[in-house]
Amino acid sequence: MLLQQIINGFVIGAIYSVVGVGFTLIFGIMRILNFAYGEFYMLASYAAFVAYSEFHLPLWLILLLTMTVLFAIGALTERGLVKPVRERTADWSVPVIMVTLGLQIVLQNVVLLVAGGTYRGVSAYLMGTLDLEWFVISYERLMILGVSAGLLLGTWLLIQKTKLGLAMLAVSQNREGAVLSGIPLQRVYTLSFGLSAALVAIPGVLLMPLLYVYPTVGQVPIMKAFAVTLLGGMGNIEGAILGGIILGVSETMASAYLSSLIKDGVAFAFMILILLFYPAGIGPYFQQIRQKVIRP
Amino acid sequence: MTRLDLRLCAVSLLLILIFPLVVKDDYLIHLLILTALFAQSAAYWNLLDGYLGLIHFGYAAYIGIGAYTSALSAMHLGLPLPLCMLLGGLLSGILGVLLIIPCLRMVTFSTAIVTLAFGEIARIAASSWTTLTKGEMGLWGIPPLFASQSKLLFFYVGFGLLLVGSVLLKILLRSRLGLAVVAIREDEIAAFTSGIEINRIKLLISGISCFVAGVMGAFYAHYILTITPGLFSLGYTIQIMAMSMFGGKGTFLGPILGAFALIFLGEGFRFMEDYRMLIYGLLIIGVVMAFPTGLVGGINRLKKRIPSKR
Repeated sequence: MLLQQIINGFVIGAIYSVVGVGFTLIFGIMRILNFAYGEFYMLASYAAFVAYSEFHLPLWLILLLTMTVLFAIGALTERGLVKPVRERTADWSVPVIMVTLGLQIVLQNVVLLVAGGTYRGVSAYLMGTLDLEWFVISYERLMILGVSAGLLLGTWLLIQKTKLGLAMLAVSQNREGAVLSGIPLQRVYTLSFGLSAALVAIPGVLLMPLLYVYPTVGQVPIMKAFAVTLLGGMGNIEGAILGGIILGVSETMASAYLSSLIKDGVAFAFMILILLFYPAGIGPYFQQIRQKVIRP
Repeated sequence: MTRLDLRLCAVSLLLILIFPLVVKDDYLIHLLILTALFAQSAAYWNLLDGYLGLIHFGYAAYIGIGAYTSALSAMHLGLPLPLCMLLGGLLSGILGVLLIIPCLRMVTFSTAIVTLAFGEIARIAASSWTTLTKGEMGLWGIPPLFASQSKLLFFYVGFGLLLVGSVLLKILLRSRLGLAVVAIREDEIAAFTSGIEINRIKLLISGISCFVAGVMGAFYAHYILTITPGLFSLGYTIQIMAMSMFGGKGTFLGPILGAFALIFLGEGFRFMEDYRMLIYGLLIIGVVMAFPTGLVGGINRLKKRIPSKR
């Protein structure tokens, strides 16, 4: 029973991690909060619904397609909305919040006009369960866990090993220094905004059978993204991964042993407790420990 | 504020106060009452965020706490209503101070999550403590502040509260305390080395800010007469934030202008029916792209431009 709950928590947590990483990435690199982030999730969910129930595409193709489309939408948003505001103010955090809030309202209402307010969804992508000795896990959840873990690993590799990733890291650590070393700031911004949107596309596709899809479904993931980002430390990717797992496990535990009504409350209370001991989020502390272990 | 600004404020205030006597449209008056409520909340959220630099994502929870406290004490204890409203404000203020105590040693963004989490916890508590709050059904049968059917009295009390609140806010900002608040926002360490008691000021300002939220919530409860846990939701906090950012964060008039602008922009497009919110969103994007520093910043820039042409 306990093991079962921990594993369920890990599945949910892995997907929260993906949501959080996309959100925290943008903050780390651009110092902005993207309030339309949940709406990117919503668009991906609708895309998956149409692709799966109308065109009967296979899941891997849906994932690939939505990621590509959302990458384009994210990059376009950066170019069309964020860049003009960014270029005109020195401290752009507040105007960008407002612009993305406006975009949130626009996207929600466009979808409401096109698709209506009804809840839509499909039963599940995969059927059947895997029954091991100590716990049971459905193939669907196993797939969610696998895809999320692969995506997180891919993002981590992209940031640590590729030239683009190193440029992102450089910009997040010191913007002026990065520009002086010849990093094209604007291109890094556009690509990372696109990457963030592409990341949230995956939860949008995978969670669609669980959460359904409707115009305001984005409120759920953005709340989690906020929580995970802040718990992990703003802009800290490893912290966000860890934070997502912690949030997922604590939520699952609370709903299993206490009540599903108050699970969000318990998870948040637990988060406050963690922040009392690690005031800057858990990411920086985790990195300290890792460095001690690797280089004793 | 220059003398011209002061005169403009006085004139627009007079116009607003005369408005309900001339235009007898109940719906418009209702909107203005809500605007007064939101303007006051936005102004005091701005005191926390814009002036002190303390990000507060759970502000709506204090409005809710004030509303529920006042309504419940009026219904169950039968206290006189002004006292109930004061009680609501006081409880909000005390909880506001208590929440900031653990935040004192955190970095700014952790304060954001603690306040966000508090808001959610308060909302969940309000919706699951059914014996006291009747849960999602909401409280109804709250005694009204004034027995008469007319909204005029509510209107004047609402704007009276807004006026008193604004004047007190201006006095606070001009005092030594206000200077200290801005100093903390600009550079905490420099403020500390100048002998400013950072922690005490942070607690005091959040107490004041949450007290006002509580009083306004109580006023709302005794005006609308039914309240639901939805009052605590992040959506309202974001609306309040949007108002003060739209008007200009960290300015005195910004949040008030923002509240008027956003509420009446939202209502002005009612004739567009289904497309209303779409237009509203597009308009927010448009205005922010034209005036990235908010309405007040935009107006100031325009003002600078006009004399130079002469």
